[in-house]
Parts: sequence; structure tokens; C-alpha cells
Amino acid sequence: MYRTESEFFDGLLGSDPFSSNRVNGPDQCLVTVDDIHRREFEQLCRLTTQVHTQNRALGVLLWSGAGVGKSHLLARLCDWADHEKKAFYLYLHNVLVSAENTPRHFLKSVVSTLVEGGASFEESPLYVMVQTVLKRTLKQNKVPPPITRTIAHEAFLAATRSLPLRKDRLNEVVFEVVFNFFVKVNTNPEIRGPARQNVNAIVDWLSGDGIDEDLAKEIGIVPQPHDRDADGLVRLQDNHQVEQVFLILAALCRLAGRSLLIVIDQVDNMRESVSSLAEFCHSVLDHCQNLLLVMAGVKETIKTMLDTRVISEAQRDRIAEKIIDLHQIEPSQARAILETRLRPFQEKARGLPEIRRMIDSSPLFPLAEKDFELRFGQMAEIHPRSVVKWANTAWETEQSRIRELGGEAWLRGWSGSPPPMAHGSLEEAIDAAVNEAVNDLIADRRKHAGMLPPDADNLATVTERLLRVCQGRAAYSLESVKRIPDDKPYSLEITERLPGTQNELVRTAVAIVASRNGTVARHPVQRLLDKVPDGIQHRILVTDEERTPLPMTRNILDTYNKLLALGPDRFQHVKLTFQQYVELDALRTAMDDAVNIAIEYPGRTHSGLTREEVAESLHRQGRFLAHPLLKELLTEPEPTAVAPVPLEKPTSELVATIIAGSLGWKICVMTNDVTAEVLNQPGMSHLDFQETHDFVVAVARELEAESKLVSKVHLNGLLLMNVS
Amino acid sequence: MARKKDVDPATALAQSLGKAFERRRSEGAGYPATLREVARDVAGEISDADLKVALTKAPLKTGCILSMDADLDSLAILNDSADIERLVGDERLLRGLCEKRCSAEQPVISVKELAQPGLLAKKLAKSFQTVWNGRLKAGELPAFVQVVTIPGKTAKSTESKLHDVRFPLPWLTLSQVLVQELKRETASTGPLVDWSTLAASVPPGTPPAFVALARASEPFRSAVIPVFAKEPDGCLVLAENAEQGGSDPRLFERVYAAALKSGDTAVDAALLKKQKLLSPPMSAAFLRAFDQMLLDRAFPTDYGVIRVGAKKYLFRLADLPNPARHDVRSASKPVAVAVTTLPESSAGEGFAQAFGEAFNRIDAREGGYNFVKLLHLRNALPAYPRVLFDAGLDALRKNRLYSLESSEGHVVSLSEEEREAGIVEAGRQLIYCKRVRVV
Repeated sequence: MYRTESEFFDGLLGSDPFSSNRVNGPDQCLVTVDDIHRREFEQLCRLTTQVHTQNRALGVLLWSGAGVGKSHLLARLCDWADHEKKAFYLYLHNVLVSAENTPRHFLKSVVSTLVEGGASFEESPLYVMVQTVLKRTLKQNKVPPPITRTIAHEAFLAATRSLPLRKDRLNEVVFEVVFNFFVKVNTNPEIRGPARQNVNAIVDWLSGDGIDEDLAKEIGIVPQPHDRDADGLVRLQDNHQVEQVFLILAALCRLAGRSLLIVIDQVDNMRESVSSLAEFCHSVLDHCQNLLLVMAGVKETIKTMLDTRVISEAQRDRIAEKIIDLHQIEPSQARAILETRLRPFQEKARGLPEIRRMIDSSPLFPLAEKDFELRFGQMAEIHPRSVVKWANTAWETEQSRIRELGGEAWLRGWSGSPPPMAHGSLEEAIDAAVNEAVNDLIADRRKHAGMLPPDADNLATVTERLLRVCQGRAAYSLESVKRIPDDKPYSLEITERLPGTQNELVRTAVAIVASRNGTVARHPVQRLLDKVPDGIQHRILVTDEERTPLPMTRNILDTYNKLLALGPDRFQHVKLTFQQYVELDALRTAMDDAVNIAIEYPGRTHSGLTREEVAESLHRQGRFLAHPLLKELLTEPEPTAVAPVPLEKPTSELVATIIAGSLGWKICVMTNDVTAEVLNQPGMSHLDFQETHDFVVAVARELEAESKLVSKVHLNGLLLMNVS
Repeated sequence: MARKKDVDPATALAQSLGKAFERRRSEGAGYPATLREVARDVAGEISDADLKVALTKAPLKTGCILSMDADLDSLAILNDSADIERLVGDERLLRGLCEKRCSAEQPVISVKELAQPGLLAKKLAKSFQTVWNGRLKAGELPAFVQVVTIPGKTAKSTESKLHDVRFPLPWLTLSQVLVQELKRETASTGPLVDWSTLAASVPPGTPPAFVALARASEPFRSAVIPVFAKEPDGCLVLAENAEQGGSDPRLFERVYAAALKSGDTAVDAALLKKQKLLSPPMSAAFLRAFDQMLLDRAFPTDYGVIRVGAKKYLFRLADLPNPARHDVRSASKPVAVAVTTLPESSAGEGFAQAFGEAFNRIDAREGGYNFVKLLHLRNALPAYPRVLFDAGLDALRKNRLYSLESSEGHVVSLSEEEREAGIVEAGRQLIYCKRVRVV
């Protein structure tokens, strides 16, 4: 509870219940009004249960306009499925794959989410799945303790043999590998040393990547000749086997008493990959059981894909066996959204007489209720995101007034009428919205790292997509970017114009490596040394150094040293941190998902932005050049050193205020979300996310030392909670 | 010493002919040659009977090949593979075969048909086909034959054949006949003539492929236009009569019927102009004629027009509830009626039902995706001007029967008309309508 009005004002300044008008996935802080889209939610819950009781697979298409509530509904469904133990869920959104690699990348995202989708490996869905199967089986068979590894193994395998799967050696292999994962996590929960290597190998193999034969044996695979690829690595051989893994995972879920729920959100953003995804999902649905596969996206775009046969009729009939249309909401429901989001904040303030009086007379306090009535009062139906966006703007307006007038003066003068709003330029409004969206995406990806597994194809595709919006622009030296088929001899070829010249061009070969395996990593590095054609002046090696550092085997080290010997003018190694990988994906997603970035501006009839508007905003703000990899590829030669413009940095007080404000009405908050909130403050948008997050963590630790909160490590950051 | 056995005359003749063949071959001139020509080398006059007997004796029995069975005037060679190649490629052989196979009734023949047994020696058939198919493909043919391409057995297949130029191609004649027939029919019945009428003039037994070739050849190809884009065997018109055809009442009737939606009683004039029923030249002619009708307010008999705001709607007089009330002053001078008052006093009465019916109809036509543009709905309900339409729709939305959705503007480019037909609400342009179904 707020004890004084001053605390109330701090809380109001430090938080914003409407800061996010987009849902990027299941979130324990998701605010839901049960009545909104209730029927559709209940239908999805029924279907989730049905596929399990009927042991069948079902494809559902959920569509509507942007901002009507699809992602929210799906997040709600996943929460319900998890809470009620009805399904193991996988929520994927804005997946970017090249069309050729869709099945494998899809599998990689799924496996990555199954393994990394928890605070620890013990909380990962895959671990919980196996654990549940074991518990049920041992209970059913009345096996007395102690339960040794051998007993557990036998019980697990016996249970899997009861599944109605077609006889295939791969089934046994996968079950063996999955059980090994369970054992490794059980015996070594910290997952360090060799255990980490084994877990990585499990994830790699299940994801379709190749692993050494020795590692394969470590994780329970007895390799046969046909298990090996051309490099001698053990891997899933083809898309049929990739599909088989899905079948097995769904069957495993069944043994654990739940269905497998896979949600693919924003499929309309997948563009050229949609066709191959539809084909793959069609096949999975045909062969799988115990699976609910929900695809969601903007109706207009998906309908166009159906009309133009990007998705064929046969695919549609399967992946959209059920179609759920979401509609705009009723005015009373729009009000309910606002009241529900405001309630925790208002409850904290009810102990203050003046504030209580305000709340009682104006249920939307401190928002300008009269403005709400003016805008939405007479409408037949309301667009949910527009309401939240309006509320966000209204809240920020009140925050500005408090800073301007002081809390008391503001309170005395508050009337529920909207204050005159000065609109900045349209560009300013767009830039603010884009920044907020990018920061939200970064925060989200950091929380759900599994949804962005290290993948060379993905990284190359994302980089190419970003560079394409930069080519030919005067601010950059980039003339052209070409994606090389099969990444041979390298992934991307960049052509840049030497500044001050008309025709002098410089070509760069970019090789991307994201594998822990020395045999896999060796080839692209070797090709970067040996196979680069004449005319290529620069070579760049890019690695996801934090998650899959370049394995320095003897072969690779030897080749690497030879590359280094070319000199820094001719060879560079760009080592991306996870944060930098995430930023690339966030920039790309912001463009692809532009329609879901809403702004309010007089005279605009679209609330969502266009891809071009987002790209222009990113150019304006120098976001491309701010990224180390993109800067390397967009500037030639080395940019002249410019004295850095001192940026305003957040103070400890600001960060503490935001944390206190969020905990004022939420049970908990992630440091990733606090960071996004800090970056959304005026003048802070140019700050680096990682640096800011490090600062937020430091402030949080200080507050914990002062017993003002408690924290625990969680999802690439800290989870902060009130001291109870 | 043993006595020499006497050689019978036929054998002796055969031996002499064999040597004569060898002599001609070694000299390089006059080879291949007919048996009769070679026989003249041996002796002055040798009867056909003697020659035929000699052919049964060595060395001719196995050592000589007549190109055409039992034809003493056909080219012949010694039985040698190189000589076979030489013979089958000889233009005289091709000419001889054409002369025997082709006629006015069959001026066109394939190489395979020429090589069929019964004429060409069996031993030569395969090589003959190889050589002449190759030359046909390369266009290396003697002057007495030409290549023609005719439709094959399937829609996309064609076949190249030889045309004996002594005889005219039958479909060229037919093409002329068809055009004459069309002119005759036009004179008696009007510019639009059905293909079935023309087809009656095709001689019985004419292969369908020839009829197709006739239509694809001059003069038919340039002189005749199909009226409807997807009906090549439907109505036809002479190109010179396109304008006249464009204003033909029967054409108007057909276009109107195609544009009229099921259950509707009027058609938006703008929609009529966008029809895709007609072939391009006829479409242009029709548009010119239609524009003139609109300008003159003169439509075919039994049709009228009303104006609602900026839009014009055409209707059949027969579709009005009480057609007797409408006074057609003259059968040759139709009256255009401009209506600016509405038949109903408020949108509520009957609007919901009419809206539902229109929605269902359009949705079914568009695949049943429950995603109908407001433009289409407005066009389907011309009796409700904007104010009433919007009010009625608002009531339906408030009752949670229908919902609207905006266009995101990314994959679909809206026309100006579609934008204008939308509803702007809270800064969003709502373009689509959906039925709210109970789940």
C-alpha cells in the first residue's frame, strides 16, 4: 500500500500499466479480462483437451486484424495449459527461416524451447515431460523405492513401447536420448563441464544438427552407417526423420498425460517461408497424434496467401481444420481492460483518502475519463490495441504533468478532462513507437532465449534482410548484398562503394558459424581461407560467441591463424554476444511486424506502421550503424573516429523509481522489462540495452542489500519481487 | 575334266544385272537406279516377266533391294548398308512415295505413314523415317513438299507432316468458306452469329483438326472475333462489325445477366463496365456503346436506369414489383428513369435481412472466408444510401451480429472505391465486414 501521496506519485511516475500494447508470448504478468474473447478461449481449451482424449492431431487457424487480441488469447491459452497441466506448450512467434531449411529450423526452435524454456533445465518442459512420464508409470506399476537409474530406464522404455507408434528404430533412439537428458539434468542440475557438453549434444542432435560419434554414444545413440552424413557426423537424415521427432515428442506428451500444444504466432510475417511451413505442418498433422497446432496471423494477409495458393487448398484443409475469427470488443469490455490494468495500482492507493475519493468518482483515475468517453463512448465495437494505446498516451501525459506541476498541484487540478496535447512531428511519434517496440522485443527474446536458438542460417537470413533495407542509401557504403546458396563458399557477399569514388567497389565475403561441433565448424572456416575467389578484398567470420563459441580444434586453430595472418585489413572475426544476436533479430522483427506497432497521430487512418516507416525510423536513429556487425558491413573503410556525443545516462534514482513503480502494482518484474522501461524514458532511447541492463541489475542488487526487494536469477536477468 | 554346268537364262540375267548395278555404283553415276534402267545396260528390251524372275535368282534375290515392293520403276540398290542410306535419302524415293500416297483428299502425310508396309520395302522403313524426320525437323525438304504443323491428339500436342504441294491444304479452303458463311449469316440475322451455325457449313467427315486449322488460318483468323472471352465456340462477329456488335441488344442482355448478382434487381453501371465476359475487342466496342447509352440515356428496350447519388444502377423493367406502373413510351425509344427517393423510410425495416442475404451471397461466392468488403455490400444494397446503410450496419454491430476490420495495407492495395466505401473510426479505416458467429 502507498503510505503517503508522495509514494503514490513516485509509483505513478515509475510505472505504466499500459506500457505494452503487444503480447509477445506467455507472461506471468499478463493482464486478462476473462470476458473478452471468452468463447474463443474456451473453444481452444476444449480443443487442447480433445486432441489428448481422442489422441488425434488438429490444426487451428486463428485470425483477425492486427491488435484485436490474438497473441493475448494464445498467451492466455498457454498459461492455462501449463497451469492446469493440460498440455506442454511451445509458443513461437516471428520465426525467420529460409524456405529450404524450414523443417529443421522449426524443429530446432521447438527443441530449443523445450530445453531452454524454463528458469533452469529442471524446469524445462522436456525435463518435466520425462519426469511426469516416470512418475505416472512408476505409480501405475506400483514400483517401490528406491528407484535406481536402471529401474527408471526400464520403466520409461516399457512405457514408450506401449505407444501406438509405427515401428521405427528412430523412436527408440529418440526416447533413449530424451531419457539421457533427464538423467544428465538429474545428476548434475548445474549442468557444468562434460554434462553441459552432453546436454548441448542432445539439443543439437534433437534439433537436426550433426554431432561427433563419440558424443552420440555418450547420449545414448548407437550410430549405424546410415545415421552419418557426408562429414561423418551423426544427425537426423531427412525431413521425414525431422517429422518423426515431432511425432515422438507428441507421443511422449501423451504418456505424460497431456497434449502437445504448438502455437505459431504471426505467420503472416513469415512471407516466403510460409509455403514450406504450411507444407511441413500439413505433413506433421497428417502423421502426428495428441497435437494441437495453432497458427495465428493477420486475416487479410493469410487470406491473400490462400487466394493466391501460397497455402494450397489441401494444406488449408489440414492446418485450418478449425478456423477461429476474433472480433473487436464491446465498449464495456474495453473499459474492463482499463479498469483491470489500473486496479492493482489503484488498490495500493486506496489507503489515501483523497486518492480514494478520486477513484470512487472516476473509475479510470488517473486517466482522463472524459476523453475516453469522447473517443470510444459511442462506438459499436472497439479495437483493443487502440484502447491500450490511448491509455498509454494518457498515462504518459499525466506523468508529464506531474513532473511539470508537481504532484499536489496536479492532484488538485485533476478533472478527468484531457489536457491539451501538443503533438510532436509524425516522425517523432514513429521513432518513439519503434524504439519501444525494439526494446520490448529485445527484452522478450532475452526472457525466452529458446525461441532464438543459435543458427547460422537464421543469422545469415536476418543479416541479409537488414542489409537489404540499407543498400544503395547515401548514408552507407553498401551497394549490394547477396546470399550464397548452401553457404558455399560463404554465407553472404557484400559489395561496398569506397567513399569519394564513383566506381571503386570493395567486396567482402562473410562466413557465419554457429556450431559447437568442430567438424561442422571446420568447413566454413576452411572455405573462408581457401575458396574465396579473386576479387574479394575482405573476409569476415561471424560467430555467436556467447552460446556457440568457435570450437578451437587443432584444424580450426590452424586455419584461423592463417586467416589472422592476412592482417586486420583483410580478415576480421566478429564475435556476437547473445545480446547482439537478439538485437539483430529485434530490428528485423520490428520491420516484419510493423503492422503491430501502433501510434496515434492526427490524420492517420492506420494505427499500425508500415515496414517502410519502421525502416526509415531505424535509419533516422542510426540503429543499423549502432550494431557492430552491421556497422562493419555498412561502412568502408573504417569510419573516421567521431567524438562520441555524451548521452544522458539513467540515474540510480530513475531505475529505483521504475522498479518501485512496477513492484507497486505487480507481484514481480524482470530486469529485462525494467531495462525496456528505462530505455523508453525521454532521451534514453539511444542507450545500449546490455549496458543499461547491467546498470539495472547493479541498482537492483543495491536495493536488495537494503532489503527493499528480493531477487533471483531468471531468464537472462533477475526476477525482482517485493519483500513479503 | 568335269563338265561345266549350264546356267539357266534367268540366273544369267540376274548375274548380268548384278554386275550392271556394281558397275553403276563404282562409276558413281546413275545410282541408285530403277531395275528397268539397269536392265537397259544389260540388253535392249527385257520383259517385266523376265525381270521379275531374275529378281528371284542369285545374286539379285538377296543382293538387290527394290525400294517399292514389286515396282520395277522404283529405285533399286545392291543390298549394302551404305547403299541403303544413300537410297532412303534420295529425293526421288520421297517423290515416288508421295505420288503414290498423296491426293487431293489427302494432301498431307506423315513420314511414318509414307514408310508403312505395303509400299516402301520393309528393309528401308526404319532408315527412311530416320532420315526424313530429321530433314523435316531441320526444314531441309525438296520443293515438292512443305512442312505443316497440325494439332495432335491432345490439347497441347502438335504434329509436323509433309504437304504435297500439288494439292491445296483443305483447311485454307475451309477458312475461306467459313468467312463467307459468316458474312451471309450476318446479312440475314445480325452481327452476332453462333459458331454452331457456321459449323453446319463444314463438309461432313472433315477432321476436327482441320476445322481448328481453318479457324487458325487466314482469312478466318483476322476476319472473325469471338464475342465472349472464354467461349471460342460461342458467338462470333466479323471484325469489321465489332462496333455494331457492341451495341447489339442481345450482347447487352448477356452482359447485364452476368453482372446481376443472385437476388439483386439492379446492377451498378460501374460494375457493368468492369465486366470480363467479353473478348478484348468486343469489350472495347461494348464500352463505347455503353458510354453512349449512358450519355443519351437510351438503353435497350425493357431496361431502365436510376441514379443514387453519384452512382447509376440499371434494372430490367420486368424485375420491378409493378412493372405496369412504368410507362414505356415507345418500343424503339426506351426511357431512363432517375430515382432519388428511397423505397423504404428507415434502414431498420428489412435492412438486417437484406444485409444478411447479401453478405451470405457474396461470402459464398468468395470462398466462405467470412471476409466481405464493404464496397461489395454497398453495391449489393443499392436501395440503401450511405447514411442508411451505415446506420443499419451500426445497429447490427451493436447487436454483435457483425464486426468490421481494417485493411493493414501491406499485401492488398485498395482501390479508391474500396477506400471510399470503408468507414473511418477512431483513426482506422474499416474495409471488411465479418459475421460474428457463435462459437
